[in-house]
Amino acid sequence: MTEPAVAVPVASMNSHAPAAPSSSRRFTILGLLLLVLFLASLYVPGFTVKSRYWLPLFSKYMALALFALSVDLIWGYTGLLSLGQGLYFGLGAYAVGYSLKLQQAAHAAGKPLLAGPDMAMPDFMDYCRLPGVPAWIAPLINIWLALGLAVLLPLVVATIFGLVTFRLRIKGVFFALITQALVLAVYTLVVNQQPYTGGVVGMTYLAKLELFGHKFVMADMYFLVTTVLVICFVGCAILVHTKFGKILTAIRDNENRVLALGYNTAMYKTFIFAISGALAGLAGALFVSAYGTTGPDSLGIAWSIEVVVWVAAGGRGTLVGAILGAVLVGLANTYFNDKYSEAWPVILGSLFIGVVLFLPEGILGGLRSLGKRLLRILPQAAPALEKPAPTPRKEVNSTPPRSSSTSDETHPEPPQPHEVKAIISDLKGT
Amino acid sequence: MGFQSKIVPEEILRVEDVTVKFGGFKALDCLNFRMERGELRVVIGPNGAGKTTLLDVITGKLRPNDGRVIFQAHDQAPREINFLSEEHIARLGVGRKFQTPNVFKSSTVLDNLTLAARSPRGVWSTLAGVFSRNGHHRVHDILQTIGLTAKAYRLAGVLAHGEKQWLELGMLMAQDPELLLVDEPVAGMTPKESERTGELLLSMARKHTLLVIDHDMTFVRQIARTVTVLHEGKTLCQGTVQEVQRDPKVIQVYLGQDRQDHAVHQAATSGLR
Amino acid sequence: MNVLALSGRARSRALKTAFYVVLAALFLWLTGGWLVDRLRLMTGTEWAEVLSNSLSLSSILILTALGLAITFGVMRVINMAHGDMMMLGAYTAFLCTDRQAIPILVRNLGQLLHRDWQTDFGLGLSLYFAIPAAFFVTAFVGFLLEKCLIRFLYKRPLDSLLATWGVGLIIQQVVKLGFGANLQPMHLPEALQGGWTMTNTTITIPVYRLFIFGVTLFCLLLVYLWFYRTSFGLKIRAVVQNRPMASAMGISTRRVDSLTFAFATGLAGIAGCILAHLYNVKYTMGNDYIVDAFMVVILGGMGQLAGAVGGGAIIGTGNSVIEKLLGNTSMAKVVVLVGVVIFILNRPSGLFASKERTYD
Repeated sequence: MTEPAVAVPVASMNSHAPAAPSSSRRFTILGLLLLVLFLASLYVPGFTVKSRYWLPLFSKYMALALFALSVDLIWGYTGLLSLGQGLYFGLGAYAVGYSLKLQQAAHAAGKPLLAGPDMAMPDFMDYCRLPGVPAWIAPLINIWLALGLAVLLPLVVATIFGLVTFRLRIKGVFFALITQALVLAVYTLVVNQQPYTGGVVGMTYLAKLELFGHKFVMADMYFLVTTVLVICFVGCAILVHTKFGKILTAIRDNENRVLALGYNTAMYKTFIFAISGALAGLAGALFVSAYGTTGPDSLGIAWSIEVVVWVAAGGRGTLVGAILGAVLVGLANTYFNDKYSEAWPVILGSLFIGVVLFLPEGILGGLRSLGKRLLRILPQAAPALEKPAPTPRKEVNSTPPRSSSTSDETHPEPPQPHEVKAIISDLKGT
Repeated sequence: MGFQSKIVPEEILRVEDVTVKFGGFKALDCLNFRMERGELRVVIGPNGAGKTTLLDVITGKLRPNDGRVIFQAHDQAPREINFLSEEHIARLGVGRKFQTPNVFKSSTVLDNLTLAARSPRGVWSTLAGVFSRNGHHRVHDILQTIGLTAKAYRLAGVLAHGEKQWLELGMLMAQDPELLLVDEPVAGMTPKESERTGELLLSMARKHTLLVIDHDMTFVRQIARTVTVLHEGKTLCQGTVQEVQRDPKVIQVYLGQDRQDHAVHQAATSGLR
Repeated sequence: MNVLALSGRARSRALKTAFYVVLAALFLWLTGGWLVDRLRLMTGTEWAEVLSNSLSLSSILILTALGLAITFGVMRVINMAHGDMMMLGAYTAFLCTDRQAIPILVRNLGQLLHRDWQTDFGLGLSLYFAIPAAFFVTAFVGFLLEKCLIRFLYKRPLDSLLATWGVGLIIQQVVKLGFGANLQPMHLPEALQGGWTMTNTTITIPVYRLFIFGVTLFCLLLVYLWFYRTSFGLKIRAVVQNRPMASAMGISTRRVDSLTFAFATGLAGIAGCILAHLYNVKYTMGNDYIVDAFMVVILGGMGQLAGAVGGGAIIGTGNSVIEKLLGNTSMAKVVVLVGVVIFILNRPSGLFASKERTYD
């Protein structure tokens, strides 16, 4: 360890903050530019893809990307592995699903889109001989109410669950398994109550989403979903770079230490869990609108576990990775289901194994390591390495990066006379 | 027993008849322990004596099976803290440095200090703090003091072991608690680093109350005024370093019975390790 | 010092107890009447059904959960493919006992490779042979799994959770390709069909359920003897308590791990074999039991063998009783799941908690 500089000139001691090296400022601008490019590129399919088969699929991928984003918030940044986020996604999906289903029934029967004693009944309720649309479902015919509920209901459920669970300091494996049990319970409930929920089949033949009198189909739908995704992304990006976000990563690294500093970690975890739930619900709502059907699978265990692999494959703890992972796995899913549908589960399973064993940092992490190695070859670019990028983690679920020997290089950075404060630092690097 | 009666304004910490049991094993056995404001106390004792357990009880990590812990912050009434949550106790003014470096490895050095610094701890306050400054100058002064200015933007995980210990001390300084509990601050350090650490702690002791646990007798001698020896969950002896080193009970505990005076003398001067 | 003696701890405890008392009172008031009526209406036959159901369900859960508890206790690994191991045991039984099994397999394999393979060869062995066969086949698969994957994932429960889920997906798909997606019914040997009537009563329990119970007891005995009465069992316990130390003393932790994992998986295989004759065999049957098995392990205390037994008994019996009362299997499952979650939230360490001082 270098001798601490006790005899430092008084002038610099009282002056400004030690500055981030100017090279990192360059890096940040480059990173920001790449990010904007990435977000813009998300809009491209809306303009270029015209196929009636592919465009709705892309909308679906965007909705799932939002779902993945919500999981990255709690898992990538806060270290909470929940295997039951499908619950919140499903709540949102069903809320809007009911709405669209009721609307469709009303259209088919030529009735107005209002809740009333003789509303048109959805087919599954009809088959099961329900006397009428239940009072707690009827108001959902109003799409705004349904959308609001799609976000608020998961928020409330997540808050309650979080408050109870995190206060009891339940974490790790316990937490993961409990969330699974919960989602299984709700799944079983939904499948069982066929008259009310459509059972195993779910709800099909839904109306198209109509807001402000405008029907959202094809390209319109795609732009809507993508815009919501981008807005949420920006919101999340800002959030994780505030002090709040830093506390989240600190909680992931070492919760005991955060407690010892006086922060009520249970509250922080509950907060981010609630936000994640709300986002998942929103994703569910968009998914149903884009995809046209919903079923208990959206509430299922398989879904909830799969979303974790999307995030892991893309790159955990980088919001971009979540979107990337969701889209790539979605594309792979569609491709294989077309040609070799029998092979898909095997490929998905291998993806689970592969991500855990070989690529815990996901694609982005792999690119980053590759990039670091490439940059090392070019001597001029060495200062850029000073902006620390997390060293590759050995495990998907571990927290502290192992410090490798390469990171002990000492290039002393002379403090710059000016102060640089990057609010949004290199989004790919931090 | 060797308690020195000092005329000092108030007690900051009182541990009363605290017992902590793990199954059948008593880590702390009806322990009584007191500290006065502004004191620097070193606690030593063989492994398993209950030193870390004592810290755990004070910080709220463990609830005692019996007894209570009373903490009196500056200008506040004394409060029983053994049933409060860890974070509440920390907010009241108790800070801790753990045995192994416990920094946030994927945050930068600067972030580590900023998180520790005195600021509102609530969720909404930290959300709103995106554009506020939160005591920046203090943090940078601390960076200077611990000598990590050059590495302010490095991830804490890549620091060397000694640097990590210093960062933790820096975090403690930033947290600025009234009572600092320091658990083996010089473990794994070179003699030079230990000396510097000692200086740092002594400088902090001017305005804070310090409770230090360590084994390294050289270090203890550098910083200690009063030493408390724990053994099997109880206080064995208390006094200055010389008094404690000469105490026959202490010698027996560290070295066993039937030792020659020669050997005793050796141990007393070369450090009880 | 003047201490404001507000013992907040006692106060919060009192509030908590009051909350539960009120909740319980509310619950009883709402359902009590209905509950009492329903209980009064239960006939002897219904009680017999409850008993036999709980015997078999508990046994299956215990066998499955035991394997999970062993895996987690020894290696700190979560095996999400455990349910699929159970399924493999069931299909092994299918292969051994049903003459049609091998022809189906051969035909499906042929289809996969676009060839027309046919065979008439089929094994028609009895259940008594199928059980050990299921054990060994599944244990072998578990052994392979450990060697290829699990050993990279020690002490990484969350990683192993994800990776083994992937393995489970693959196994399910392979089995689906091999045997088709249909349900396969199984046939019991004659000695195990029919019922057994308790003397002087009208309570009849199917013989097979008693057989299951017997097999489970036998397995429990085996586990106990192996773990607590053999030298290898001593090695296992050493590794559980202090792996580095055990290794330093010359115990081959690798061997302990592989064999223990294989054994744990084999237990699941036996459970599957038994289950096959109770219900039908399908490639997704593992999914139905995996979450329940985990609930049993958590309820009993992670990694505690006695806990797996106790938890299995409680959940199995609870499920059967509530199923009878409500008349609906799914709802019973929901009630039990929620009940276990609530219990765990109150007592995270489970029924039999290990008394260790750990800093997580």
